[in-house]
Amino acid sequence: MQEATFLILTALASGSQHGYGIITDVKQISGGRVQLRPGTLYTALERLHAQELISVDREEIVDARLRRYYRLTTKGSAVLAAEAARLRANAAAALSRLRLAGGNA
Amino acid sequence: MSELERRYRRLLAWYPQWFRDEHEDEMLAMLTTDARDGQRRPRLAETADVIKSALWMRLRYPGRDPAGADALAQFCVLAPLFMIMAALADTAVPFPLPRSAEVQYGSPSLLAPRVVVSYLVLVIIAALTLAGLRWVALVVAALAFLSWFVAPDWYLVSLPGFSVGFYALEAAALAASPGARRGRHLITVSHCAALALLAAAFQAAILLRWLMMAPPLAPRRGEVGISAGITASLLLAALFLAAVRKMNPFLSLPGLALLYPAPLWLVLTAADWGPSSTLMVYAVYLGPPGLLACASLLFAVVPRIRRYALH
Repeated sequence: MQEATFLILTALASGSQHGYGIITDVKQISGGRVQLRPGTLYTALERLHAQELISVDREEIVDARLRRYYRLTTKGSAVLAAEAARLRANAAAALSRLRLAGGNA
Repeated sequence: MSELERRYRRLLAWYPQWFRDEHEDEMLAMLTTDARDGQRRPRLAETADVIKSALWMRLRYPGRDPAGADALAQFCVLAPLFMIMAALADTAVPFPLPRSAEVQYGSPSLLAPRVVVSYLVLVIIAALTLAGLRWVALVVAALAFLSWFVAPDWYLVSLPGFSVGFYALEAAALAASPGARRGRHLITVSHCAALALLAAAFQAAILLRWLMMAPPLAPRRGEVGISAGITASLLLAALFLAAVRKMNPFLSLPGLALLYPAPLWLVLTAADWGPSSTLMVYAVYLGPPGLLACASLLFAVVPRIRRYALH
């Protein structure tokens, strides 16, 4: 899973968000390292929607404009949990080997 | 609407229509909210990001553009009706031919077995599509297409490749479009008028070809035929384009692929040249409809395969 995809799913893990909310959340989660642009975000949202990892939660009209909220589906939660577990296992393995090699980790 | 917003909308036009319908407002709100004070046009990085992702969306979901899919749905209902009209024009309006030409090119009798069967197949396909029985119609069209390779003489409309090109396009349109019911829903009075107009133009093309083959024009075919053929071809193309101008523009693609053998046939007759081998007949008359049929199927099937692969 690409990092941007992982971060988008993570941003939606705590509750539904609209596009702009996801962008600011992803920036915050990544410590400012990943800054999604609208084109990249909506391409990813469309792909995740087609994969049934996210769905539209609700729509609101704010300042005469449509605002769509997205949420994680059950399948999306499972995929995110599996990916987080995989990354944690990889990170644990890396740290363990660095310790064995006498690194500072 | 501010100038900046108008420019952002123009930029978002890179996306396919179905994507704009779903996300344009949201993206526009996001882009304008992020704009700096006094910003008058989209920033370079934003422009590059939008164009890149829009091109990706068009490549990734080629079959999802409703206009293209709707055009195929309309085509799968209109084409069999046109074929029946064209076949009636070809078989029911005889033109006096010299004996030699009649043997080689003459329209068959309406009661000849191959004509009866061919009519029956066309009427069945038209009835099935009008009834919305898409998959049954698809099987009949596919079988009719395949049968041409077994019995190439069993086709209506004395124009090489015309019927088989229709069967290929019809089967592809039925498979790749949202279906005949959707097509039936989208047909308007304008479509019916265009259909009648095209059938009349088609009949004129057929009569013109007979005229070029019969005395007194036949001996001077090379002199007068080419200009007559080209004029008729341009007229047919102009009528067709005028007819579809105010309709779904995507309808012109399968329409042109179906109709182009008629003007081509006229020009070839006028130039006194014809494909000399079966392979050339395939290439000249079946190339464009075959390619379009394959492209329609690919555009419809690839996203589905990808969706299954993702699961």
